[in-house]
Amino acid sequence: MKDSHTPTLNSRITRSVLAEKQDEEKAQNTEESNGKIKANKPAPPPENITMLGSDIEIMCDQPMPQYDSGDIKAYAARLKSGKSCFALICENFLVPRTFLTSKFSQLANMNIVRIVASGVTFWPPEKRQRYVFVYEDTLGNKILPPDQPQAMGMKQERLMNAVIKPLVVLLLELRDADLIHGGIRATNIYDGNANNFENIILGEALSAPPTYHQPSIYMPIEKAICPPYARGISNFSDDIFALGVTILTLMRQEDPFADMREEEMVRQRVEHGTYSFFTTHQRTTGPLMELVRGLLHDDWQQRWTIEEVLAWMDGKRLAPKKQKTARTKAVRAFDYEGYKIIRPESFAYELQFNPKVAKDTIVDEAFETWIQRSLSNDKITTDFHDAKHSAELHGKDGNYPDRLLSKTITTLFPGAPIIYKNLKAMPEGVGYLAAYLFGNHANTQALEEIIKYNLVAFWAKIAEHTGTETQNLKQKFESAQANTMHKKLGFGVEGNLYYLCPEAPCLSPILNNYCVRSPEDLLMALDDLCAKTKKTDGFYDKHIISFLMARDKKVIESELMELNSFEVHKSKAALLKIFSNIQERAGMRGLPNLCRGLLVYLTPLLERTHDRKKKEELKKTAEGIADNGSIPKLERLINNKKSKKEDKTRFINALREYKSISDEQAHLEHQLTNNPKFGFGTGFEVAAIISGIITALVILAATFLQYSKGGIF
Amino acid sequence: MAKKKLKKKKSKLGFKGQLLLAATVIMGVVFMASAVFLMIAMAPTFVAAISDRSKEKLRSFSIAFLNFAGAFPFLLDLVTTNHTIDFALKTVSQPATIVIIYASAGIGYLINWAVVGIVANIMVQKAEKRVNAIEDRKAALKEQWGPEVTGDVKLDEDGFPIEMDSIRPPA
Repeated sequence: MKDSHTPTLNSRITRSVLAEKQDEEKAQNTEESNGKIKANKPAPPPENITMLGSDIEIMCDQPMPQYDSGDIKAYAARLKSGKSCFALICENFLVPRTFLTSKFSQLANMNIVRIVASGVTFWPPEKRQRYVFVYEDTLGNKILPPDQPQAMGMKQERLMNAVIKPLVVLLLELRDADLIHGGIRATNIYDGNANNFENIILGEALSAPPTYHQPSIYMPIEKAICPPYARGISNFSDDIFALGVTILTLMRQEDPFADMREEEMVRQRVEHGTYSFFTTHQRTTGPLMELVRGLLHDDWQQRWTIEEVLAWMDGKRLAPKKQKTARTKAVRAFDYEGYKIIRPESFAYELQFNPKVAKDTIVDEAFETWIQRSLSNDKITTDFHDAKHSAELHGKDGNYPDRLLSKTITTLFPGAPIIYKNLKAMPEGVGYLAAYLFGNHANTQALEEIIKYNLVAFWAKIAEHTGTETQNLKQKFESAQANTMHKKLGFGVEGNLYYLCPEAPCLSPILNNYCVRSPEDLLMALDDLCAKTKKTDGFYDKHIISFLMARDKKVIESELMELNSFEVHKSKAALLKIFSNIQERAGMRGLPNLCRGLLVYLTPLLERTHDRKKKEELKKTAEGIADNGSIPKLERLINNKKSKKEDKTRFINALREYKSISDEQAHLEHQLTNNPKFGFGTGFEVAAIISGIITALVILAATFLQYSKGGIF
Repeated sequence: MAKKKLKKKKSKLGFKGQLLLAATVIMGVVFMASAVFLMIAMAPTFVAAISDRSKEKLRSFSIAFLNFAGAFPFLLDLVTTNHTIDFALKTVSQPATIVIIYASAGIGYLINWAVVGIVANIMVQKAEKRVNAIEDRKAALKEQWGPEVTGDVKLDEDGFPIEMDSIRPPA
């Protein structure tokens, strides 16, 4: 299976094509300047072809809709060796699972699509960078295209041999590699160009957030309620559940849900349970139903594990697991919006649709009475009181009803997504939700409030009873809550986006046309931007700083306070230091365009030399460094503490001298103007000295005469 | 009140002054003839000292020096020949003596007048030259260090002008 020409792990693209392009340009310029233009230089690729690295060509004008993964479009690609591939062009805000590429490429299983490479490439149709996954084109056709009725009527024995066995083996390998696929569904299984399903291949699931492409019917109830972009990190039992739905879909003769709205399907699942829902609408019998029942258990702890599936396949009869407690049911139905509700989960589900009515209902005494008397569940009663109490902690402000509604839903349906205002998200999906909202330029106020009011802490407290591990989640959201309190760069809602979703590329509007996934990518994108737009300002915003904080705290943490300074020169110096740290640490090539842009941006810093002569010298040196593209050298030149100190000392001396001579000048001018006897004092002194000398001479002469001639007179 | 105290202090002789006064009085009594002679001969000096309102009394110095130079030969004669009050009065009452002594005091006044005029002129010219040199130095300092060296511009902790556009609103 493994083609010797196929670049896999070693050739995975880690550098952007942009960087390589620039390297090539640089090399070309050097060669030209040396007068050594190679005659056999490879021609640039045609406009309809973009390169991923130097080995993979992606044909922008050859879409392959059969391999589309929902909104993520597929295009034909080919390796230099001629091997056919296809590329999936990802969206920045639908955060692809790039961290898993390496692990997935190590899988030796033949029943999963083989990843060839992934990385950032320039996408000519949109004239911007996109992250792409390149897979081997060995999938063939979908065994059940999504535009057809979701039923295949496969015989159970055939289904067992052709689909279930390979998928179970694959799942076992995934579990051993600590991987979750997140895309097991009938419409993502391909025939592998073989007849009779002899070589089925499971399609990809990395090009978007976990389980993004899964229809809600393939998700456990809690996640089915949630929008696909906010389901968050899935767990292995989600894959098991999806396998169960896949088996049912392939087994059935006709699609009983073709005309049923998704909302209604989820409503019925919440009311009756998933397995009952399926068996009510789909009369299927046979040996596989025991497996399906085990796989489709709504309680993940009751759901079969992969070992149990294997044991069942080996013919072992599995004793049903002991159910912890029976589902709570009210003795009297509650009339709500035309529904007679007896299950708390159903009530929680209905409360999301009409918030105004919902808010009025939950504050009504009748609702509380129904919880206390009809549900007769002490835990729910206590949790509802806790919900009311904790919702009041932030005061009974305008958001109080929304907080109470959200917490009431969580109380009635533990494990369901957090539903607040117009947002729904699983706690692990809040980061992905943030990326989605920012990517779509949507209002993030409600998201900020989810974190600010720490609705996740209440969710975790309720979910603890269901056996969910919540300690990490609690700590994470406590930090996120602290982040929202700060409005400075690196914190706030943007800070939380990259903190809660570490895989997210930088979604800064400045970098709209780029896919920035690392600090190095950031510098290269800014260099390209400077080359194209002669950019000299706006090198950072809240997104960029938050992105760096999440991705590489070391390069930014020590400069954060200065970066947030009100004094422009301090923030500019801090930015220079950050960029310098990135370039130096990564040992990046020169970035002359960015350096030249920065030089203009840093003018206030260059101006901060007192000595005018030295300032001019500094500017000239800086220009020289900028042409070489070395930010660390530029930083060392501009932020040179020794020369700054020397300059300051000399300036202070000059300041003192100026003051001293000014005072002297003022004194002299005052004396000259206002003192008519100026210089008289000195005159008197001189006159006294002269008189004194004459007197001394007279005394000497008189004494001499007196004693030499016997008297003067 | 404070002024009064200051005046009182000024009018009071110090210990040294008192010692000097006592020594002068004793010397005056001991050398009575010389004292009488000097009292009359040094009259222009006393007048000059009284009329000189300056603190240093520098003007009276040159008069005093020349006045004494005029009186010295007669004083020497008095001391060495007949040191009596009568002889002292006789010497000082001679017109030639008094003219010589007072004329030398006048020469002292003239020296003072001429030297002060010349020196003051030189001092004014020197001061004007210094003012010009200061102007040049200030211009050089300004050229090298910019207008902030004048101290007229509000400076930050590093000595650079605080300009409104260098302050940005909080992020």
